[in-house]
Amino acid sequence: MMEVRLMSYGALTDITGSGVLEFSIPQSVISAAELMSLLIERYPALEGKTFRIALNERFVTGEFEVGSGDHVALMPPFSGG
Amino acid sequence: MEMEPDFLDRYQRQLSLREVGLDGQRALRAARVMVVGLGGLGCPVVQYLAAAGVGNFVLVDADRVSLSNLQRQILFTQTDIGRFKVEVGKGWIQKQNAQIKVSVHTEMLSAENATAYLALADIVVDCTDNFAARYLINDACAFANKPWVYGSIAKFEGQVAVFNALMKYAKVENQDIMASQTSDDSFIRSLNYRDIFPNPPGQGEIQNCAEAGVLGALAGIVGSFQAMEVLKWILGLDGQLVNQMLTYSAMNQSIVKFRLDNNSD
Repeated sequence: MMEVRLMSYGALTDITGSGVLEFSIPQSVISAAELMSLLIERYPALEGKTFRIALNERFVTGEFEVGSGDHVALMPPFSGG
Repeated sequence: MEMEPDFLDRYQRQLSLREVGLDGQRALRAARVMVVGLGGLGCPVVQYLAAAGVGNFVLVDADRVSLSNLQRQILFTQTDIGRFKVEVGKGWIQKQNAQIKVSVHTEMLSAENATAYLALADIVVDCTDNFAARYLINDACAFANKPWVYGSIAKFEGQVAVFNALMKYAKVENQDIMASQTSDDSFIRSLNYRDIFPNPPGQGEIQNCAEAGVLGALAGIVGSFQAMEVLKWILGLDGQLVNQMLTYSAMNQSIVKFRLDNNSD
């Protein structure tokens, strides 16, 4: 059992409704693909949106794993100036 | 360019910083800074850089001042409504310091004019409000080997980064380290906007300030971060926001710096 806490930024927060997202997960570690599935399941409008994932304040792509205590952030591009 | 006769008095508060001093002040005076977009971000960028003694500006913006600008674009006043922003900006700069040189361009940055304008500047500040302009700045700076300081805002949050800056590259204990730009060791360019977001989002996916709304103080904060990064770059100071993106949240007053690695793609 693991609590995963994610921060969402910018326009993504319009979809998630909050800048802090919390998930309870039965496993102790989840893969990138599993994380994305969880997110899309709870927030279908995230599908196809442009954003990067940061794990422990580092942008990541491809395969990675999220475990207890990790910081995950969902970062879209910003437009305003 | 000669320093103004009263410069010791004018810049006393920063001349006394070891990181600035006379050499730094001369570097600021010689620097050529291009500001693209004279809106919420561009106003504080221009004002702080001019006050600090940056000697040459290239201002690019096709817009005229409107009433709805005044809520956050604090360089402008009611009497400026209808005037080109870059013309008002030039007037403000030269009122602040008549020795500063300003070239103004009342057209949007485009693929046709970007190369010519970039040739007039050492560093570019992106204060635009749309992805087309931002990707154009990114690609034109990559082509011209010029650094640029990115800034953008979304409701109560902001992003800031320094892209395409020339950095000393060294290997220390098996770690790749970006050091300051003062050594004659090997140099490489820091990562750029496309290393974070390779392609623009879909049309209408991300709202700009006109659509999403913004409080003026946020533009002031993020623009001030950009001005500080420009000053650090001109002065060759450590700690520039290269290969990372600062994200500021006004709601909880937090700053997170997200690292970007060469191998993250």
